[in-house]
Amino acid sequence: MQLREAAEELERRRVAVLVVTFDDGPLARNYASATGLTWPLLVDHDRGLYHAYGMLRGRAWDLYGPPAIWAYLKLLFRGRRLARPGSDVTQLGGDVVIDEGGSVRLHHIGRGPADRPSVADLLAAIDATRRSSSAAS
Amino acid sequence: MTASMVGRAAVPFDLEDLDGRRHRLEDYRGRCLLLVFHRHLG
Repeated sequence: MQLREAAEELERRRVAVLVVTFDDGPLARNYASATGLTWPLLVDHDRGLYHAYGMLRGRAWDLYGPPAIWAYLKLLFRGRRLARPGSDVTQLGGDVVIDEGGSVRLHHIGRGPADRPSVADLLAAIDATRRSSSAAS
Repeated sequence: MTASMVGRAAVPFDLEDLDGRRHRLEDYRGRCLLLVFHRHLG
């Protein structure tokens, strides 16, 4: 399951989703349009936020090895058209869940295209923040 | 190897989206926030 398919689940939980990229201009607009992105796409030009969360550059094996190739093949099987890569294919990505009080509750640095938390894991982390918020109040 | 930041305060940010709208961490206080960092677009 892709994150976009969980949009209603996230909305029901009142989760704000922000997508962050370092690519800007036509590349970012084409991506938003081609994927039907409905969440804001923030541009972190100098990658200050990436670096603050420890998302630096990946290793060749993680970026080009069999797990990465398999991840791209899965995208193609799902009908996704792969476009020309952006300005830096070595930059790592990741996911961060922040709770209502501003604390980090999930911090995942993706080592390559094959390394992302599942949607179920993200929803579980979000649900855990809600449970602890309710317990605290 | 970067240490996990779980349990620490989120990093403040002030970034613009494609429409030029500013988004700051404090705008989302009181809501659960998911930040999805893309590797690259393509």
